Amino acid sequence: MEELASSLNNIKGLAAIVGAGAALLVLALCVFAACGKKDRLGSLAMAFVMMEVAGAFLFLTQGIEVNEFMESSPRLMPQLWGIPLLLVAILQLIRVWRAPLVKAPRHGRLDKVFIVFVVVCAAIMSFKTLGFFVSTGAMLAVLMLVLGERRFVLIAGMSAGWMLFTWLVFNKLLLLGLPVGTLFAR
Amino acid sequence: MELFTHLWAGLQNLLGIKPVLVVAAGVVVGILGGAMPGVSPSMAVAILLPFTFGMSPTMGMVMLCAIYLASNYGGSITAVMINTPGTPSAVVTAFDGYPLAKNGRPGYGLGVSLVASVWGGFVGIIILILFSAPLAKVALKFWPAEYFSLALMGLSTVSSMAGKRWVESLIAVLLGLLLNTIGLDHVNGVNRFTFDILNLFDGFSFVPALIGLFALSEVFQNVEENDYSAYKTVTDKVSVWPSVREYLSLKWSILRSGVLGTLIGIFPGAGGTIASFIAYDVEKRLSKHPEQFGQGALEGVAAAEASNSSSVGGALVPLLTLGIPGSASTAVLIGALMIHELRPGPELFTKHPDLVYTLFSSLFMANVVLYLLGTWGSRLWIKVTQVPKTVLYPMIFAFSIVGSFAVRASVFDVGVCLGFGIVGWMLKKYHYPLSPIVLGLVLGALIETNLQMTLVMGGPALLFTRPLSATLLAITAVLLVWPVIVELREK
Repeated sequence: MEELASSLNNIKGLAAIVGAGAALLVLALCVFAACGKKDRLGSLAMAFVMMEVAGAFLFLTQGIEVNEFMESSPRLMPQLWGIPLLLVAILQLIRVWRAPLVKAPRHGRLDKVFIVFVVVCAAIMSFKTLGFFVSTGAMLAVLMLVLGERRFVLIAGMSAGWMLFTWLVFNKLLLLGLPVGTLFAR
Repeated sequence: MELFTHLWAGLQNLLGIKPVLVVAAGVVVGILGGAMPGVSPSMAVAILLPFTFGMSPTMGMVMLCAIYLASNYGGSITAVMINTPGTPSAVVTAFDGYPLAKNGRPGYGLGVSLVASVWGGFVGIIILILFSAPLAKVALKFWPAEYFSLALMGLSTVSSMAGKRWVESLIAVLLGLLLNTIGLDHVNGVNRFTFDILNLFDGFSFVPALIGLFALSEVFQNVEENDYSAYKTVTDKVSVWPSVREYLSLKWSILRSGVLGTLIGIFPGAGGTIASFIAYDVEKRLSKHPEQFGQGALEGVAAAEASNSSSVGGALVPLLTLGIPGSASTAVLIGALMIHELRPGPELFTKHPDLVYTLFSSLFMANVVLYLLGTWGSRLWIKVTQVPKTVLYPMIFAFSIVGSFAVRASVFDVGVCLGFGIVGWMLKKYHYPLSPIVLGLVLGALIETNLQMTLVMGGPALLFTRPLSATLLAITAVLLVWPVIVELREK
């Protein structure tokens, strides 16, 4: 158990844990739906994910090195928070399951949330090449367009204004030196 | 006498163009942030935190506290004028503020909310000044066992104050605490859950996590709701303001609500929203005309505003004396103190008294500036609501990114901010509160260090043999069991 837990303490292990967690969640959702709990799938999934998180932390805790000569153990806190989280998440699962009525959240424009997320991710990933100013300026313009803004002068003005503002405040006034990007670096 | 000497010294640090401008800038930003529906005080403080990096720790804290104080008032402007509270704590202000505006007396709503905010703020600050120094002296005598028990009690109040959502709150607290264990162990220096990712060795950086949870989650939620239209407002209705006599008739309501708001603000997780609801309820019960509440009662507006403004002073008491945040905004302030390499807690009073007393004096100054700017700019502030959300939301993203990046010049932190934003949005959808996660993240290290030290000093028995620690643990147990009993009774 300890060996398995410590062997998972790397990127591949993280991917394996996330994958296993997702598979378990899908399986659990199928079971919940088959038991006639379709009206509260989201709330049940949330409680189940919390159980998984607690379970994963508790499992990985077994792989943490312990110095026998020390009075305190690095495993203590993850166990101290993980066990109650697991128990409370199970309680929440039971509560949601047994509740006569669960108010389901309204799902709006999830597609827009996804697009916004992708745009922000793209901006973050282009920091190195395009630099902070161009990336965030472009991100601002694209996000405004995605959210329905059609006054192009306003969009261009806001983007340019933002780039100038951050350059002045962070690079010139606060001397924080935001990256200019490999593309524009001398 | 010593207190006045320190305060005077603190005030002297604020004499000069630069400090006054810092306070005024904080107040303006706070009012604007508070007045924008969708921007909470904690969000305003978190987003603007990076702008204080180039300042001295004292001026940085002065600015952030001014933002925090003013944003609580800012929320009432939109509550009164367009029945859309700019901050959660201004919800109660709208109960009577908006009927006043609808009946053609918006000036009364704005005037009473401003005066009550300012005087409520003064009450909170006075209590903060009077109680924090003695409390800090007591806290200096605390052993790690007491600190551990106190921090645990602070966290348990979060779930006990959550009412029927106590399980969700408890889960959120525990999740925050568990996430805090990622990185090097605070005592043994052993790697935990880092997955060989170098950026995780220091754990999650506070500021990106806070910005993600408070700012981005809110924007994602609004994007999902797909409503980007700006509010339509009529600014020329701000006409007649109350007379001095009418203000004076509210003095007891303001004083009562101010004291109540401060006391409630002291408890972690309570904050301005709960304070304003309770103060409003108390005033309604005490009123000779309870039927007027909800129809435009001036006492209703005064109670709501005085209590939520005074809760700022209350929330600063545990932050400055014990290093325990009393609200989401003060959790951000803890992050700010840490970034400036200051340790929140009683040592602040002994090692950095200049910072503490300058901060106290600046809160007085911020209240005066708030009154002046509030009186002068009511027509102007309301125009903030006309900023189209198609511009506002992308700007919040941009500010969040720059804020997260500026902490450690790390792209990883920007990713953390975005990740916490998505997680926060999903949790909110299913009614999990976000403030407890932040409290868990902030208090996790304090709890761990003190528990480990207690174990090294005398084992777990020390937690139960020291009287104060045992008492605090007993209170914690009661606070944790209480919601369970209430739920079982209701069944």
